[in-house]
Amino acid sequence: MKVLATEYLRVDLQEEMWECDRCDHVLGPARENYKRFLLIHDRNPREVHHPLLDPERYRFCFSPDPEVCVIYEFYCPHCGLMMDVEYTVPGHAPLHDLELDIDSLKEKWCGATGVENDSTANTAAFRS
Amino acid sequence: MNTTLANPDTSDEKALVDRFLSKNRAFLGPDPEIQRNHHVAPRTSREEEILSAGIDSNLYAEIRSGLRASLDETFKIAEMTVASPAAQCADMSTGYFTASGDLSLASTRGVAGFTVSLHYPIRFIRKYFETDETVGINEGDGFLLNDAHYGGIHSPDQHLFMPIFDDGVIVSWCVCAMHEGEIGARVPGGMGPMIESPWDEGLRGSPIKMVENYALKTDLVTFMQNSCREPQTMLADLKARLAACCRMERRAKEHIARYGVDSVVGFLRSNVEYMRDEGRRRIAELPDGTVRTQFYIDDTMREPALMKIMYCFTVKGDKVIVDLRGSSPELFNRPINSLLSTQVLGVAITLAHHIWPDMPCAQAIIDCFEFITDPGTIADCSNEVPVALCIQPMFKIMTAAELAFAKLYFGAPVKYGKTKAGWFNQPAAIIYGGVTQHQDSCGNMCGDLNGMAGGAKCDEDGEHSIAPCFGANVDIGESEEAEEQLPFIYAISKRIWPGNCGFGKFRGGAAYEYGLMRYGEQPFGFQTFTGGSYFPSTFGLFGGYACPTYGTVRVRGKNLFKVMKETPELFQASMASIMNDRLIEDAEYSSHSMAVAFELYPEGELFMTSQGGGGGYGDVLDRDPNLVIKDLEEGLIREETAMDLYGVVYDPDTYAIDDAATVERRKSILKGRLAKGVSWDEFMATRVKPEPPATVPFFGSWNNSEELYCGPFGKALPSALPPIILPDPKDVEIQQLKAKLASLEAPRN
Repeated sequence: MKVLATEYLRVDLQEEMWECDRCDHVLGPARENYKRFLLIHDRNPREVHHPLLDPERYRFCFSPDPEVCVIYEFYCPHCGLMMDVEYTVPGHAPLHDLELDIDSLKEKWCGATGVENDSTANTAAFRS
Repeated sequence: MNTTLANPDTSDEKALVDRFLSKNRAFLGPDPEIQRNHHVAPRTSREEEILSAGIDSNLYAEIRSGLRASLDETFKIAEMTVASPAAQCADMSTGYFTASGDLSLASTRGVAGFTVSLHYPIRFIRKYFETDETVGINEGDGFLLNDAHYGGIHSPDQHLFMPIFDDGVIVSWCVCAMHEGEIGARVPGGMGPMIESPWDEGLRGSPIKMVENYALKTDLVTFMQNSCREPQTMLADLKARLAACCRMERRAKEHIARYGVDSVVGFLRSNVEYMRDEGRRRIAELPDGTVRTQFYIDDTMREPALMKIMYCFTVKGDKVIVDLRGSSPELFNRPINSLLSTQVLGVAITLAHHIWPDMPCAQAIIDCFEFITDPGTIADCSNEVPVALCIQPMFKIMTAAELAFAKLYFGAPVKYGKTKAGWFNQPAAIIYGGVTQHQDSCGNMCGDLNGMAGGAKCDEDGEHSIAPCFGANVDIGESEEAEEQLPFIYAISKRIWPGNCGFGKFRGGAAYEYGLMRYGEQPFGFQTFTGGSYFPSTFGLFGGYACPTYGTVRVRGKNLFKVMKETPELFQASMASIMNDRLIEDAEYSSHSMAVAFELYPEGELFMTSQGGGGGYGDVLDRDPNLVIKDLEEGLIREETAMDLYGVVYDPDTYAIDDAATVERRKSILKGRLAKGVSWDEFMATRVKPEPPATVPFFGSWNNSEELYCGPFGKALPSALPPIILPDPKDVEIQQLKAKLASLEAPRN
């Protein structure tokens, strides 16, 4: 059984592996930090948030200050899908943001009744 | 009724000593036993007796409907009669509590968060004043509170409580709570960068009996009026609160007369227990797991800094542990510290507003939550530091909870609402003060604070400047009404600027800029007190980008009314045009962070700022190209964003999309990601540093370090934090200038 953990990240509960929901690439063990299996790029925030005011004239130009802010972008190593972004201070380690208890996840989806639910259908219901 | 007491000076010595030892306390300060406990009180013996006899759900539903109608009625009464600008925009709430102080019902409209934390002061009043013959609790009493240390959110909020008696016994409490604004602080409006100690925060009302026999006490009202810049507003709002409480008490008594007191008491308690039990049941439904978020407050309000707040939400069975350890140490002389009770409140509000929108807003819904902190940090500060801007860290935990539960619920079998990115989370508003065109003293806040943008959802874009993160049903007020009452005009009003939203598959709501131009000769000024000028304040979700940063900008040294009259073509109602084109000669153009100390502005000077956008959702390359072009046409994004970030190829004259070229450009961007992305191991080896950057003072844990960085004071274990007293930036600048002068004056060899 496969369960969506985020918009783009899937858990194969039987194999206990993270997968990319876009290209089906198997990323790595689901009991580990999924970010360890992604490509990471540290991006200058001004490439994303262009200054509104002339940065040559104004220190506060309505765009993040690259001296204190960097964007970590996390990509699927197979298809390049951007699975997460993290705004942090330059030099800080990426945050282990999501740590699911795989045993509990299994129990919630099919443990009590043994009947497998469809997580994608559940998510789709909330999008309609 | 108060009993008449003998003059103690006539007592015998032993009686005097006994009385002294039993009655006197040096100081009835905030009680940690009350303030550090957000849980529902145990049933009273009366509640136990009533509820153990069985519950009539239909009867309780009828009582609920009746009391809810009463709350909405009294909310409307207060809303129509208050004078505070924020309360006129619905920054208020009414509510009924159990006799022990647990919130059972709050008004449908307004900011239910005001009532959520008010079990603290009710418990304080009952514990310390009920048997104190100098205070007591009697029918027709009203207690006023405006101190965060006793359970309010921050000093500018003022709440009036009234006990509801039946047959001489307290059976419930009602409250009318609202943002008053002006409370005689060092700066107008009770919030501002220059507040540097608790004694700068103005009037700090621990619960005070302001009402006896359903009437305001003239001596205390006069004292309150003398203690603030807006005496008329103070009186009007005290009367509005009292009128609302009197009507709530009347309605409650009508319900008691109709249904019996036991039914009303039983309903109030059972409703609290339902919320408590349903919250726990929903948590138990979730798969176990942990979600971590870290935010940075980027300004102490006097100088740039990076103050980390660490949020770790762990679901385990039917409990949630919220671990705030690793957060920045408290700052002794800066106003952005927050109390633990403020952080707890932020979680309750978020659960009710964003995660479980079908649940009432009450502290009972997070009864199964526990909080772990390092005392003495900005998430759990001491009573010795200022907390005037505690809503900054409070709004951060609101977004942290939003994102945590969005992630925890995404993979869960049952959900209660749509998954969405962060709602804008900072108090971006201009505070004004001075003398109005009507010759009244004033100091308060623009309703624009409520114009926060919504986060992107999993299936649609966020709404533009729709409502604050803390209340769905409030307003931003009318510019024209403000102009009639206050000596400024909205020279720029509610204009969305390109890029002020979080980009993504679905974008966050955009937010507007506005500019206030002084009108008239009377002394009048502005200030702002918000973070997010260096480092974005609100994050996206699942690959969606954050909102951008923002700031304040000013045009000074020239009367722009004359410019408008003589050369109207030079004035464009756009912050970017005014600041980048600089068409008005001899004016001084400057940009600043969102922490600008109060200053007076003469007629014709312009003070501009912006509200913040909502976070984006999902990968930008997943966004429908037609929606990208729509954003472009509506001025929500720039052309570079459409082309380079979203990868849409279009004709710049007609905005016709080249579908094939767009597919190719997006493929190219994906390839580029694979080329520039590096592996985890390489990233950790080459990008991650053992110490925070030295360019800006850093506060809090770095890479999970046990020690907390303390800015210029080194680092220390949480149990041994030094008092962080920062120098006045003006003194620092004077010292730097003196040193420079000395070096220039030194004899050359």
